[in-house]
Amino acid sequence: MNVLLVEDDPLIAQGLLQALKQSAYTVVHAPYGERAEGLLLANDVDLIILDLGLPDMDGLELLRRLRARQSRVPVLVLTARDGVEQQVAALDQGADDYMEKPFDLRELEARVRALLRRSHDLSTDEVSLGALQLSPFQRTATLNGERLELPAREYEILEILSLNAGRVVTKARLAQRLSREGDEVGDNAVEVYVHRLRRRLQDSGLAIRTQRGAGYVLEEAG
Amino acid sequence: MNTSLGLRSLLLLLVGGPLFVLLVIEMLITFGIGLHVTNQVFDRWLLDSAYSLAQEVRRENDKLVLYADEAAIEVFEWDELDEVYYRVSTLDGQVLGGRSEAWVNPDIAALKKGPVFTNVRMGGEWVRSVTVLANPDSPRDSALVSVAETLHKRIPLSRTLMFEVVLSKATMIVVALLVVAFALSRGIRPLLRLSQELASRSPRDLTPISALPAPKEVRTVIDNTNRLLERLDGAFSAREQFIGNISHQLKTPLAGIKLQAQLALREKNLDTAHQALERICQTTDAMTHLNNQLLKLARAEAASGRGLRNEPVALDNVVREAAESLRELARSRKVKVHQNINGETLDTFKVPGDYYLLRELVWNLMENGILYVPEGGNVWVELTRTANKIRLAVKDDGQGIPREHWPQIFERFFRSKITGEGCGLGLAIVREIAYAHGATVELQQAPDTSGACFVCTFPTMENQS
Repeated sequence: MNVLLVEDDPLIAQGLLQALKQSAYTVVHAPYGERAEGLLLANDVDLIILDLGLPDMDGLELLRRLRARQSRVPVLVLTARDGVEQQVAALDQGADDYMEKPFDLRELEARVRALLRRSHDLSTDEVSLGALQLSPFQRTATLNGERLELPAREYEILEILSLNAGRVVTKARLAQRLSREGDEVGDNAVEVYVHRLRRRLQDSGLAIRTQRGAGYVLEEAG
Repeated sequence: MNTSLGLRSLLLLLVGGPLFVLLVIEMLITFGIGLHVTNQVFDRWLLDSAYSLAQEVRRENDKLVLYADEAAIEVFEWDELDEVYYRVSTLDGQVLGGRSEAWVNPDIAALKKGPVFTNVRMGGEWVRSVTVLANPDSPRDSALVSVAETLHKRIPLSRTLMFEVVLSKATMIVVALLVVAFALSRGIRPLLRLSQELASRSPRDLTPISALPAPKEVRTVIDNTNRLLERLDGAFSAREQFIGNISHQLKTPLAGIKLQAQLALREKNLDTAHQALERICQTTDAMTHLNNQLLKLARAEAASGRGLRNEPVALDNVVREAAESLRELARSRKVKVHQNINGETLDTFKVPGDYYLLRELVWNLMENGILYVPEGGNVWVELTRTANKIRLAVKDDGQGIPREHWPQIFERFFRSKITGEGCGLGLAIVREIAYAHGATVELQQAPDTSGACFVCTFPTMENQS
């Protein structure tokens, strides 16, 4: 799971980066609004943790622009502002959840999981598809009860395909998901990783089908 | 309520007291005049009797005699209530008629000028007596004529007079005091209403007092009170906003501390936990700094609110001391601090004020310059004096402050730079201290550098308002 953390306070940012990475998320950090906008264009993120008091712009403005671009990525607002009005304003601008500082780390982690489950339409922390079991929050996958030891990029492709099982995921989106700043991943590389995953899923009853000109679909073979 | 009762009693005392004394004096005067007039009437009658007797004194056969028959004397002596006495005698004491013993010892010289009235005791009671001289023009034929009368008619009459005067005047006094009391109650009713309105207010209610029908003077009190309430309301809102700001400013470091503490608690690796604890310590230092700055701001604010110690402070010394204490910081940032003090005498840069607050002001401006100028930059501190102003300028050759931040630069918690250690209170403290000293502080465009230039203008010792 990819998380964008928008927070200017170095202490909180460092702490959250550490905590989120320990929880097996891939985290990118933006200390101010402009940087967050840039990262949002380059990355496919599953969740944004957004501080409102940013040095260069109001977090609510960032949120408004995000929703104006039709993005449905869940946003957890984290702020030192208090009062019901502030909460209402944030929720009305498109925030999915709201936490006041100082917050409890365990609660924040639980809310992050809840937001991610909801946005990926999951009832539990696990995705089950035939013989495949995937735990996005542990970053693990098992096939027929056996642990699949996957390199990071193969795991990420399997995760995004499982979370969107039965639906087409474009090659471009997969490429964006794998890309890091200064380490861009092209379509050819995506094809290589998909090819490797197909070999791992052989005889499992699952198949990654190529939708010509569109992308890939993970589905039960039959 | 005590004060309003007090006001009523006070006014009643101030108006009713003199009025009461005046009416009592008037009563005494009226009584005195009445008594005098009645006495004069009775005295006139007594005198007439004496004169009529004196006319009967004649010389006959070379002897002075009183020519009065028994019947005339009887008529003369008869009185329903009073005893009437008379005595006619020659100047050398020979009795010509009436009582043999004399009740007065008349002074002939006084008698020659006119009748002499006296009150004497006779037969155990007071009598009114008059003595006249018969035939005053002929010393040989002169005789003393004394007539006396008891006071049986006079005393009841004066009593009646006194009773009537006292009764009427007392009625007047009571009525007058009642009228005064009534008028006073009516007069201070708007004040009582105002007092009730103020007394029934909650301490948080700072809305203006409603427009009560009130006389001009009370209206003025209400208007002035409303103006005060308005100012208080403004001050309270500013304070509440400030406290809100403080709370907001504290939340972020508190959140950081809690987060790092939770991370340290779940950490198995001691080194990693140690790093988190290190960060917590640094943050508590920053919070301590914020707390100190808040205290300084509160002190500066209290000083401008309540007035400050007005001792002469030599700003040139303050600048030198600040430069000395900032030397290490400047050295570590390779910043050169230039002092430009053009003082002619010891007193040139003396301003009235509080030494510790002024040191804080100068120190803050200089520290800002040293911290925000790039490494290897310059900071200049200048002191100049004109006829009635002392100008302190602190400028640097850094990048300066973006123009759009100028209007807010002295606001509390405003920070122009995204990075930096500051908590955004330094310049707010500077401004508050400047205000307390009747000085102004502003950000100016220095003519010779691109950096920030803060200028503080102080009144001189002679020009303090």
